[in-house]
Amino acid sequence: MTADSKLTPLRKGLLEFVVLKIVGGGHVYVPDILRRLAETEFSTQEGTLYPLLSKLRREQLVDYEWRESESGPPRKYYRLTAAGLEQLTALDDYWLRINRTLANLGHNQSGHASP
Amino acid sequence: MKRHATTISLGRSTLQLDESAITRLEAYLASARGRLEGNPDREEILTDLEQAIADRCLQRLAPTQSIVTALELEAALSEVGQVDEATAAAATYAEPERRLEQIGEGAVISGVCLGIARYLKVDALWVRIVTVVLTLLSGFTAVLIYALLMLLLPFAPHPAGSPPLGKIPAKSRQAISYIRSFFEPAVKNGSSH
Repeated sequence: MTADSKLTPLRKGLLEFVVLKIVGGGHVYVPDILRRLAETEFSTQEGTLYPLLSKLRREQLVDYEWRESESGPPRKYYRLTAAGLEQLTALDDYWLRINRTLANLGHNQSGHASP
Repeated sequence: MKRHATTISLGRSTLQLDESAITRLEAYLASARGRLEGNPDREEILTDLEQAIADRCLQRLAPTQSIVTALELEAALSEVGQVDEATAAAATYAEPERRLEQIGEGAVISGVCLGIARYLKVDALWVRIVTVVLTLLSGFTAVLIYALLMLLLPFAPHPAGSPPLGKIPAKSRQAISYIRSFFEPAVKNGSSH
């Protein structure tokens, strides 16, 4: 429980990155994003996702277009903009760097001298 | 229990709610509105949330049931969740940038003139007059430029998040988006459907 409460802000901070990643996979609409996230640690709700997507759109990282649906009203489909793709690539790189750093720090702790 | 149902439009759907459901919905929306205070996209986000609630209520209705009660509504609201205040507040710093777009609402053809007018901050009438004059003077060239702009300019997202209402039907917009995807490296890996 205590470990999880420390991880909550980490997950919250990563949500934006995770959403960019899913939107980067092609045209998606919000129920798609929620479904993909539901199976992961980043499970979230519309109440969080819609304000986040609107923020990302204001930052011009994502954009949406309307598409007709077979049932019900038209839907918003989100995609990455060129700036969004750039941001996603940068975040991916950064995430890899952090992972490497964490792995190296672990080595130091177990008695290895740093190269 | 009173079975007095009221028909309301929620997002872009219409559904019937009983009194207790309406009271609960109003409370949720008022709270969401408060949390989105100062957010420039407040109306759009609220419409999106309303739509999500409507979809989830409709999913929960039994085949013979037409009126949403507090039971379905409560379940829908807990799935949609409260507006996340941290995210809602974070959106307030970013001012919308001036973008050259075609605006479907109130458009004569595709909203290119409206978009140019908004970009230049002049009345659309002036842009249209100039366009007509240019068309008369140059003939085909102006038409070609218009067609090119139609193809290249992004569609403006709609105020309060309603779907485009312009003269260009959604199918044509999709065709335009499809053609455009060849020019945009960002959507190269996106599926076309």
